[in-house]
Amino acid sequence: MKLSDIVSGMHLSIFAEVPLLIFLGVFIGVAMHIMQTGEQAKQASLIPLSDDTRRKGEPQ
Amino acid sequence: MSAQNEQFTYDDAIVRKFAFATAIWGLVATLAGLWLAVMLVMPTWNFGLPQLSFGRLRPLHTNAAIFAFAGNAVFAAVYYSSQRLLKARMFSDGLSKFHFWGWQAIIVAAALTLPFGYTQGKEYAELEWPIDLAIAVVWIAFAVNFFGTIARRRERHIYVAIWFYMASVITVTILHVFNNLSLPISPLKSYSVYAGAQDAFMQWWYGHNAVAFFLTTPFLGLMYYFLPKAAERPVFSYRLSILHFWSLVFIYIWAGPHHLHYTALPEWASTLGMLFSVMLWMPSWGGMINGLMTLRGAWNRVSEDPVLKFFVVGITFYGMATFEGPMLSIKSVNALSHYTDWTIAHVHSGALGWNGFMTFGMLYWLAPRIFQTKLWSKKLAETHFWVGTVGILLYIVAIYSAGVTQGLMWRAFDETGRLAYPDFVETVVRILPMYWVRVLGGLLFVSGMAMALLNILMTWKNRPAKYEDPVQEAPALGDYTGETPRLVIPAYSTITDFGHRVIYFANAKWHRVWERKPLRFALWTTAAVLVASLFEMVPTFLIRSNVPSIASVKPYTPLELTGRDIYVAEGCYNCHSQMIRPIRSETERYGEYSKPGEFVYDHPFQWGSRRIGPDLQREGGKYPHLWHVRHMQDPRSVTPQSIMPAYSWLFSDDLDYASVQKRVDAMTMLGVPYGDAVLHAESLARAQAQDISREIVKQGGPDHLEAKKIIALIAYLQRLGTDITRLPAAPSQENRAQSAPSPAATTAVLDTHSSHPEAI
Repeated sequence: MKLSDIVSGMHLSIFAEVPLLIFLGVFIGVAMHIMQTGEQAKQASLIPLSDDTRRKGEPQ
Repeated sequence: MSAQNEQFTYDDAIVRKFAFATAIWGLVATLAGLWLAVMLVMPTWNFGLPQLSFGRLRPLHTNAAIFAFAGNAVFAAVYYSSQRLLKARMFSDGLSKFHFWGWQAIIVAAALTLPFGYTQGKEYAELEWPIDLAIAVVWIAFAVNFFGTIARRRERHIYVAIWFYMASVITVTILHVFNNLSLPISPLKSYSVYAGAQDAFMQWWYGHNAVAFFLTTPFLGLMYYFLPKAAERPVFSYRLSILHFWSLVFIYIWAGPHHLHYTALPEWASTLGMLFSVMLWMPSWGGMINGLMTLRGAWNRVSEDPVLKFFVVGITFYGMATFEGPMLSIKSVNALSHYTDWTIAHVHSGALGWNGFMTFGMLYWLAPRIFQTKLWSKKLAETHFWVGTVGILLYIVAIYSAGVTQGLMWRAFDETGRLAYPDFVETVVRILPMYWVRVLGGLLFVSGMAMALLNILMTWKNRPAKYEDPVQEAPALGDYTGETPRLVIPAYSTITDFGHRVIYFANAKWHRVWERKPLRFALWTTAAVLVASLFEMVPTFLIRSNVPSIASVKPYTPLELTGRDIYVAEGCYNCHSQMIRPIRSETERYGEYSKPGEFVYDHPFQWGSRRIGPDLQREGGKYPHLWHVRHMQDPRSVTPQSIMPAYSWLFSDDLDYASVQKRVDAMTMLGVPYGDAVLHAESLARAQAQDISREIVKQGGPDHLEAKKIIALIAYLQRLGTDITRLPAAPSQENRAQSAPSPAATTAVLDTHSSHPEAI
């Protein structure tokens, strides 16, 4: 018996719905996470603005 | 105990190199595009040179635009921003240099092979196997350098731009490896290990995600760093950027099958691709709004600053393209848009508007900083902005119009129920004026590209005698001393263990830990990509009912196989599809719709994505051999208004009979049942060539074509789509390859049930 025979008999049509549920779970997880990150997010957003030393000749 | 300050410098030399390469290759890529646009209205302008023919030059244009122009722009962005966001010099200057020179060598190798017909025949993955191996090596060097820098960082929190870069590095590695698995038969020729519907599925999983993880996520990383820098204010919502990241990484990978609606792909995979594509709209627009809102309070500067102008228009194009993409993935819209210029317009609004303008904004912002002098001409940058914007608008408006016009003409019926425009060339002639407008738009965009290169060169010329290399200071990243959230389950509690776990998860503290642990973060990103890929691929590859077999479909004869390789080398798939959708206007025009089982020996598949010329799936037996001879010698001698180039070299180039056996051997290794043909492939090929050549002479054509490439191509074209109208072979001969098509057979014997509706 080949692997394709086994998989063919597994009735995997549910594979089309499972990802939606996984996505929903991930989305809820991430959404819950970002609700908890008020001050941290504010600090993180400032990182690009404090990452360099201005050199001579560079625009202000 | 506070950590000691450490001193370090940034490597901006590598950024200068990539910035230059971006501007130079950008001009090359767009010039090639302009030349292609000209050849669509002036088909003789390849001057008889095979290297300049549309089918060979178009892959050079697309590869140069994606991997040379956008690729170098991404690397410039990654090298500049990563060092600063992580407060660390790149992990290894040697790896940085290896990455730069290796990548440029790959681009040169592409330019030296694609015009000479060395191609895998898969869109955006045309480069042959030695170059693919080189790409893998250089990419891994880049990945080691990038992740090594993250490991040595002095900033604990990994900023969201770095997340986007990480996702790109990981996913591109996976995509490149799996889509390019092939069996080499010579230093510059290989066959895809996948065939037909499975190859198509793999290719568009790659093709779509190359757009996602080479042209979208790294450019979003670029946006989240360079836009706040240029606007001098933080990103509008850092929280939204996190949601944007995870939603994109998770959803994008599922969307690839929308490129294959109404084709011989399983219906469920195509529907899943559509659904996830529509879902992509929301995170994409969340990202666009986040970008535009970052300019709050800085809009007054947009009118004066060309950098911000480029960014605003670039982000707007991101919004337009990511609205249009989901729309095009809806099956009913796709039925009209697919194979037309609508797709080409969509791609160019993304590539020129989003990738191009974000790149220009970044280059103009970077130039004074990396060359440590003022930008040579702000006025020229402003002119570039306006010329480029008008160029894109002319280009896409003309091509949207051409796409919708041609799509509607293809499906139009007259009052008697027959096709209103049965002659394909009628629909081509109608859109030629729009092709001229495209040339004008392209010319303007190329002019802007030349202005950018000039501005960068002149800025570089005004550089100081010696670059300053300011020393940076930051404390080393010691052990984390802040709050490390842990799952604590007290011995006595009114809440159950499970309840404590739910609370821990709901507080999402786990994610805060991840954000500081790049390895774990990278692993979860990889998992998101792999899980999605496997959910789609396992059933497609392993469920037999997805590709029902057709008893009468047999392997190509050795000569037809060689002809197929010529078809691939000439890039015919760039203008002709081999996929008749189950749509009435298509079956009326081209014949019986395509079945998955018809392509089981097609390594690689050649379904195509644009019909500049008609579909060829049922081309076999449609015309006599002599028609093909005349058509390839001079297309306008049989179709006066044709825009196809002549293929004179196919009549002068000798057919390489010595290679025929190798081709058949390789196919046999890939599982194609050649039976006895595998023992004497060359003699079978010579015999079939003699037969076809004699018939051509009988029909009044030229003699002695049996030694030329044209004969193999005709053999292949005459075989196309004929198998389903042939009786299946008798059981005793089941494994024998057919020696020639059998036009006499008439009964279709199909052991198939397609997932398609009969017609729509």
